[in-house]
Amino acid sequence: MIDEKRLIILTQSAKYDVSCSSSGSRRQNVPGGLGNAAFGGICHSFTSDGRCVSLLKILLSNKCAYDCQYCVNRRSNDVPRASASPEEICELVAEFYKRNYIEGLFLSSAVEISPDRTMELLLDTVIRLRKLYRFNGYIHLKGIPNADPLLIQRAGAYVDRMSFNIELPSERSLKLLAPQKSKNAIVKPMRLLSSADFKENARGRGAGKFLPAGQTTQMIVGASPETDGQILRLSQGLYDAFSLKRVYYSAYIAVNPQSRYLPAKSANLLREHRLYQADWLLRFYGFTAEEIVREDGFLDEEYDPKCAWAVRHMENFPVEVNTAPVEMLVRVPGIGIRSAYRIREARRRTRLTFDDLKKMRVVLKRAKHFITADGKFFGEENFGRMKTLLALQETNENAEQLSFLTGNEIEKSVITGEI
Amino acid sequence: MTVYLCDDNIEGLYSAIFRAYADKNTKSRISSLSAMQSGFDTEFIRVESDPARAERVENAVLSLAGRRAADEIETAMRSAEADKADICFSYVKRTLREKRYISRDFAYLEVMPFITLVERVRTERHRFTGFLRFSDRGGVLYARFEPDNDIADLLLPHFARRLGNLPFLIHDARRGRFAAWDGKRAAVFSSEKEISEKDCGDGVAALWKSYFAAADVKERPHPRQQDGYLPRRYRKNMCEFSGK
Ligand code: SF4
Repeated sequence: MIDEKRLIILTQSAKYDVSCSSSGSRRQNVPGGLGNAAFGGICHSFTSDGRCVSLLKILLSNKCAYDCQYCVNRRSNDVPRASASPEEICELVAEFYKRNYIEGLFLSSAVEISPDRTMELLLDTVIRLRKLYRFNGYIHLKGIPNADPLLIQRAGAYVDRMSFNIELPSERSLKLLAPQKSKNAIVKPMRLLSSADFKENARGRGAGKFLPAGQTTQMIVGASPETDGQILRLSQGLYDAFSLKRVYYSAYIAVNPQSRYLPAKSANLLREHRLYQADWLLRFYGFTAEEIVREDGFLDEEYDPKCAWAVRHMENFPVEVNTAPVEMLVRVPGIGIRSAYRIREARRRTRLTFDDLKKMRVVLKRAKHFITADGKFFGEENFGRMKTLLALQETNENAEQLSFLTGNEIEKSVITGEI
Repeated sequence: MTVYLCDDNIEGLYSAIFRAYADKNTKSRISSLSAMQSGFDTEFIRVESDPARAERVENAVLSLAGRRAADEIETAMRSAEADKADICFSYVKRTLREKRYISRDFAYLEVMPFITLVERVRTERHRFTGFLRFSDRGGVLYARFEPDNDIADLLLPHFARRLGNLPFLIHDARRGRFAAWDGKRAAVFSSEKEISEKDCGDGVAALWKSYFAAADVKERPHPRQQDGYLPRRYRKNMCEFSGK
């Protein structure tokens, strides 16, 4: 079994990758096997930073040959180094899984020796887990840029999800801060993994379902000068081109105060939060990046992006809840997918009043300024006062939202930015 | 006002509903509490569970509103809410009146309180698929927990699928309920037996604690969010939070 010292080093070097989701796969257990995957994902614990712990998130090694400026593991950084063997990782996963500490493994690695050598070890680990340990829990594998496509393809047949991190929102920033990586080295494998031929090919080898939980990626926000608009357009493009399941945003944490190219201070967490909210609007509510950002290319800080959009477009409001199409209802601040669904179901039989909406637990604090119910309006008529009210409510909103979540939505909402 | 007192389970509820209809007293209330504050004009009637009568009510629900409704009522009765039996009673009355499945008619007065019970139970079940902690007790995995709602047996199929051949025992220490799996068969039983506390025990648990501490991004404290997702009352049975 791995010793505590190395476990701590390899965990601390992995924790800045934000993704910990275990959703998207329906992998089943087999006779004599251990584990399965729950489609909605399961959170097993929460750390004091409020993040969900679902997978054992660990590096195989943090001894890196590369020198990415924003990363704790960069070659030039003076930190304790360690590596683990594939066998040690497998054993730890099985023992943690049995005790229900985790939903599976999120395995990544620094580039030790060479990209191919590193990718080989990662592949060895996941095959060992699936074949020798008969482990059918969730595996998310981080791909190593510049590794042989064949290794990447083979890995895709064993794991549930793979990710190559975009790292930075522009090629220019990537060149500056991660000189050994190139846009191509990251985007090429993403394209490969999403292409149909490639998947067929992998299937032909008699392996299981290819990447049932798809691909995700992550970018660091606030380490480089790109605007929110640029970031969101990039995300939009990635969703369209590679049918990514998720783009994760990670506010830069100042791990390299000496660098000439990096800000001395950590980036604002609120910005990260707003990006998640905006991302949600892109994916589920039919917004475009252009609609949500301000003219200067950034998102508003005072309100969530949907609210900010609505305030800028008061000509669309108020909408009547009894007749507005669902696509419009979800554009109302404070009305999410769940409330819109409830409204749609309930209005089939009744003409809804504000009282009905309250009974249905539709949160009206913000919505009331943008809707009428049975012709009645209970919002604030004065535009200036309304804006002040909305900004005040914004501060309390997050904590309250939690109490409305059920079941799988908890997993889903953890860093999703649902609004 | 009449209050029918019933056993704290689905059969108890249905037996009491049968009785209320038989008495033509559907304006009454139903409670599953063993003791209740009496008002001076309240009459308490204790209803013994009667499987045959309960089945007749259940069949009425099934034929008019389907399996989904019956499942939801069964789930709601697992709730820890004091007035759950009465909320279910209202829901059943409306179902029998409308003669169909009504859980999506959110504007009905009877629906939201009922659906809320169902959702709370299901949410808690989902949470414990993650928060339950097993320790290895000589080849049997043992998990002690204290859920708000009566969900031990609901967790059984989930863990049986996952753990396959590995035997386990899930122990609701609040109710003295056990859900057991021997690798092939499942059993559910009640017992007041206490299983010795031994922490999560072994070296693996110690590694897990170290992992949990190391994974925390201390630069970004957000305890309010942590409390929202992982209520404090659950933590005493989770080894990463216990000092031992
Ligand atoms: S390749 Fe870059 S980002 Fe990855 S571990 Fe090495 S230094 Fe960090």
